Amino acid sequence: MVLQLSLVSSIDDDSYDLCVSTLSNLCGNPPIVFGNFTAMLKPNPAFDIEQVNSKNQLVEQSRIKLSKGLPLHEVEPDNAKRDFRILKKYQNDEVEGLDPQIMQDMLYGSRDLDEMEVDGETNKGGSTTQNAWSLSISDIPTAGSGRKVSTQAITETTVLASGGSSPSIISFLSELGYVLDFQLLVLGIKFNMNNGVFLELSKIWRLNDGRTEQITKGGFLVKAFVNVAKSTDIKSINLGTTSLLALQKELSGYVELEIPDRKSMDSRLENKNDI
Amino acid sequence: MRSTVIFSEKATPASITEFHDILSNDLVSIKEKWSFEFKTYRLTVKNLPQGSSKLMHVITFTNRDNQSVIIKNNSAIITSSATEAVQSSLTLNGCSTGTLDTFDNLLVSKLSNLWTQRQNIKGDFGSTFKTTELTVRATNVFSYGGFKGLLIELECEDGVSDKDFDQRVMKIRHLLDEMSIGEYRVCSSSMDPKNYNFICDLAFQYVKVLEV
Repeated sequence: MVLQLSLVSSIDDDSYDLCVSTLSNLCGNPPIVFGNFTAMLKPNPAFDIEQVNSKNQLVEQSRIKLSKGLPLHEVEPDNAKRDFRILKKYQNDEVEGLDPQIMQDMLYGSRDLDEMEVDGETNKGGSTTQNAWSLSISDIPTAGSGRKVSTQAITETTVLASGGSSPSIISFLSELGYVLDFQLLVLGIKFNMNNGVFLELSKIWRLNDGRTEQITKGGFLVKAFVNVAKSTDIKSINLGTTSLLALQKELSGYVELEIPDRKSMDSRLENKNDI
Repeated sequence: MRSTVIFSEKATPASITEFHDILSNDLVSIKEKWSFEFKTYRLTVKNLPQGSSKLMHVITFTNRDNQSVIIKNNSAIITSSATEAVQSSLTLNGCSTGTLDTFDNLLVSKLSNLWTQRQNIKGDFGSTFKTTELTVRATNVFSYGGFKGLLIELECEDGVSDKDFDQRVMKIRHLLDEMSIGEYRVCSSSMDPKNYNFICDLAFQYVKVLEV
């Protein structure tokens, strides 16, 4: 279980260039472009699921997050051109250069994944890397009025590959009792700030029936975070909090980093109607 | 690569020594110790359609990079806690935080309203024998400290035809028939005969011989 400390904010499309150069100066390195595809799954609504487990403890139903990296060479085949500027062309609903069908094929396992390994550079590690998924369940962030940053516990495991006669990851998860809820696509850039703080600027799309709809239209989501490997490691938690607050102070007046709304970070099933 | 798993419930804790003795004529070398863990989880959902399976199995192989195979019906996934190469690519893409739990842990801590652990079978400190034809792994199997039987895992190298492998397995079975371990269960099947997947098939064979 990892603890993620975070602060969020947003900037508009026009501020992007300036923001990137400011942040690059601040951390001393250019950002890295990243992209991921996320499928959120919920417990099968047809199941009559108990609220308590065999030890009579209350267990709330949480969503499962399933994600993997996007083949970025499909967005921009030229490695040298794949820098922060490519994000500027994504101001609308369409995700140019990315076929939403790729995501469906990744989920349902019908695509020959070897075919995607055209660009040797990004796909080192062969098919294991291609087939791997990250599977995680997040708790609701800790409550309390005195908090300076958001603190969320995440339980995560890696699925290396799937097999069997119905070999897709989705068919296994449906055996596990989970069905697809919604799907997201994220393209962004990431800065590696000092003291283990990462800062991401990202555009997010919702995938619906093969169509993409941008949720972050007109701007970018800004998220600064620190991951602490052990939830009992108070020293690292305090250090992470201090580093985040230092960054918050440094950017204050320009990008206002704030604690995200707890409820919007809640992945429990009952929560959906509240947002 | 193909595999076969044999399990004898009638064996005694000393049978493994006897097996070693009768195998010794063909032994090329004795390799590393190995162990496995076999856990059964049961779906707690009550309103499932009749006849649908409620069991899911998690089989962890410490000798194979600590990989776990999770099997339910016709689907399986492979997970591992030691996955540095894969992990860095997932972390770079913002998918992973880089700190991993085991799948077991996820089931127990987050999905315990859906899944309850029923059974825990272990084989610890088993022997690996290399014969001219096969890699033979044998271990005594325990469940919560009680002796359950003898488990033998047969594996051949790449490039051995199915027919040859079956013959080699038969030889081992003849050896076992000479021993006084009575009846045993054998499984050589694959989850998907059209598409062999070594570790998934091996785990599937464990399920078939260990789950009565």
